[in-house]
Amino acid sequence: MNQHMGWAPALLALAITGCAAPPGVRHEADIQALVAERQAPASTGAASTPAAAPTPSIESALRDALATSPAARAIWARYGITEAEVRESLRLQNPSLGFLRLSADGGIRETTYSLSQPLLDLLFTGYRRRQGELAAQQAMQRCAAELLGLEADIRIAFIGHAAAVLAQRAGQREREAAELSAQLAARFHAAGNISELQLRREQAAASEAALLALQRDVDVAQERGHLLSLLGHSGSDSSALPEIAVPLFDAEPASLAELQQRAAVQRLDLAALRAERDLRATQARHTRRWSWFRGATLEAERETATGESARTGGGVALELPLFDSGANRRRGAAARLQLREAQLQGLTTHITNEVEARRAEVQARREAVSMHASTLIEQRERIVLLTQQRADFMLVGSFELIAARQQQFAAWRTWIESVAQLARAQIRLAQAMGRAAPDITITEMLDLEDLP
Amino acid sequence: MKISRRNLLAAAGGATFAAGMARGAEDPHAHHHHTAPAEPAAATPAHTHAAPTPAAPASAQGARITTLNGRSLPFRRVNGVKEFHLVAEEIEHEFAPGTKIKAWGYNGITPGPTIEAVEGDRVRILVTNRLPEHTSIHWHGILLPCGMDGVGGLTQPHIKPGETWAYEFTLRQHGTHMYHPHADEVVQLASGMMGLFIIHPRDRAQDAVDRDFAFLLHNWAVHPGTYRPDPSVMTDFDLWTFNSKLFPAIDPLVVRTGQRVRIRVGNLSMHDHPIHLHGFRFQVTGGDGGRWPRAQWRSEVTESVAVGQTRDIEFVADVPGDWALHCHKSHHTMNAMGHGIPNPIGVDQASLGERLSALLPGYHPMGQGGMAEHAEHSGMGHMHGPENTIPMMVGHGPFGNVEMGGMFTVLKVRDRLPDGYADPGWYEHPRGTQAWRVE
Repeated sequence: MNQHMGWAPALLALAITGCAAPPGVRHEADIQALVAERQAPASTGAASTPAAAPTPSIESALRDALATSPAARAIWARYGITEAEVRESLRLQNPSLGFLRLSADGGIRETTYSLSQPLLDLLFTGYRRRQGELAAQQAMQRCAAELLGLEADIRIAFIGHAAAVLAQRAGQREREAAELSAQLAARFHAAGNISELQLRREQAAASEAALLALQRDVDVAQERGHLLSLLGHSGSDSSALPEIAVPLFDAEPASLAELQQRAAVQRLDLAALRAERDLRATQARHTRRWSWFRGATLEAERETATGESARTGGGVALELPLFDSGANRRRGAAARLQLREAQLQGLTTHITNEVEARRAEVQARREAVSMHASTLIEQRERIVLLTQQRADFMLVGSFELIAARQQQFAAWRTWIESVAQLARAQIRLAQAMGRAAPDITITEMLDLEDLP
Repeated sequence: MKISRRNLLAAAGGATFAAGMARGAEDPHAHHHHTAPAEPAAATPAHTHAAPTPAAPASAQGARITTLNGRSLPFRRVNGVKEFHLVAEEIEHEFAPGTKIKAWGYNGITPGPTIEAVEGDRVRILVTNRLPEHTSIHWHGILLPCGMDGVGGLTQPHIKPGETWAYEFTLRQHGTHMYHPHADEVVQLASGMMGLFIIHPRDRAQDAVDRDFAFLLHNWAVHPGTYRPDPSVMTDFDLWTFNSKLFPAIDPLVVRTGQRVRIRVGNLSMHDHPIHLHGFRFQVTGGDGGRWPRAQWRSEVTESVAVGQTRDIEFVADVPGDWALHCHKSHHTMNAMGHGIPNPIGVDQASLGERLSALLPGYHPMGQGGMAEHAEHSGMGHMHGPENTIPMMVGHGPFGNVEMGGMFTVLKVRDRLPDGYADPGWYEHPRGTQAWRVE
């Protein structure tokens, strides 16, 4: 386990530049602020990532991915579309300019110029502005939530890839041990000291270890492909892969009530849904109040006729609610509000349960990591030492000793897996809290140097 | 390793038992029968021994018993009855330096102290139980009233923890006998509860010898790295002992050239043991049934002592030297040893050595040419085995590793014994009397 400042060092920079939007995106700073508030804390006094590292650090790879990956670009593009639609909906309808020319017998000509403007847009300008603000806020929140989700997915993919590589190395050691045991068994068999049955057992065990090692190769390939896709690189671009290290997020989660309270405040999807609920509520009120008033047009006309003085005037046209009093619109608006309220209630309940489940998972994963670190790893190491002592005194055979070593590698592999599972669980808990990463300063990373 | 009782036992304070070895440590103040005599000091250190005994010629009084690594139990005479006191208790016992267990024994040792009496004696043996469970003592092979036979539940109630019971009977025989519990026998025998009960004939002249040695054969399931015997083991034992000691911690038998020697061997283990003495033909002269008529004596070099049996062998030690005395089942002259492990003899591990070392940095490929190299490695301290575990083959003699263990010791016959029966060191072979290398 290396002393390592992990993901913390570059987060401050990431918060500022990490979610770089395409040029011309409105409210980029607001969205970045929403994201930065929910990222891992910037570390003070943390060692910075070496600038010229041959392999990119996790943070630099993450920073690049959030700026240039197709997934990040798509998020920004979706926001751009939504934002444009919101702005479009805020525009006043264009006035209509009319021109009419009539001719009659006798050389009489009438010319009419008219200008009409739908009256509702003008009357409800304030209402529409408030609606627009809510919609824009909702769009920004959804965009930020998507960016945070992408960051969390990439972090989980980092961990998955690193854990797979480390487990692959441990599995290779297990395989080497099994193969060595089988080769030793062949020597014992050749000397006439063990039966073919014993030899075949050792060889079969080696074959099984080799098959498991192949599966771990597959795991690495899959994790690698997934990570590279999220990072926006092709499979041949292995230089884009970040360092192989699994962070140890060994911190006790806060109380459930505190976490649920924080989630209710931090979750941007919840905030977006609240905004939409508010929007629908405003719409429902407005519709209820003005449903009878469906259409009105303000008109101005100027008429000239041959031999007559010009006439100028204006008027208003009102749609009479004789056949459509707006009852359906009122019901529809009320139903849309109810739908949002139901969705809001559902999401609130889901978040409450999700936080509880994720917290329970973190606690269980912490226990598993702790059991590995404080017991199993030390126990397996000790068993190898003690078995070695017994082999030295010819109390046990070589195969038992090699098997003990093999089990030590297996324990290390399950330790790696448990640390990775804890990291993923902490990130998922952070996601449930509306964050991209745990609010924990990492001080230790598990890497290849830790392999026994 | 030099076999030296002096060296082995120096730290144990051998003189502390001098009084105990004194025959007939009678209490002059005991003039009447009483039921609660003072108990002996409990948990006496296991290595209390007599100081080297001066050579004594065969006489009508006979030689005192030399219990290897042990002692005889003092008694006091109470109204004409020889009264002994045994205390059954848990003790710490050392098989050899570095190998200790939590054993059960008597008066601080295993085997318990040897009870010596004379045919015709009235003896009373008080037994105090300081064990965590009940016990009893069976007087193995001794003719006595049934109610004194010590079979818990059958001939008497069990002796509960904290209780003291008395066994009293008149000795109507002589010979080499034993005592052991007859309650939860598997546990209590496996834990070391046993002792010798030697009854000398009334006419000591009929069996007079110059040196009279005695020891009990036993086996122990003390698995490597453990500290308490495992009573569940029936045949596959770890350690084989003379008087609960392992070679090289077993006392040598020191005699002067020309002396008549008796060796009494009792077997309370789970196996028969062919006891073999180098250098001499001996006569098997008796056992549990007492001293055999001379016509029944037979000349042997190996005498098998069956489970629950004793044998007396006698000979005149007329050839000086260091003569091995051991069980001839070769695994019984090994210490902790793996059973059923893959046999490495003839297996070429050398070409895999580099890979094995990479996988297991401490790995020592051994045994291709035999197991003797193990003694070399362990003797040189190259390898450290499990805690509380003595290597399989140990002992270093004047010419190299002895490569023995377990039931093995040395009869040391010397023309001169300037230090009495203390270990005289290694024998110096006269010129022309030793094997030599031809090529």
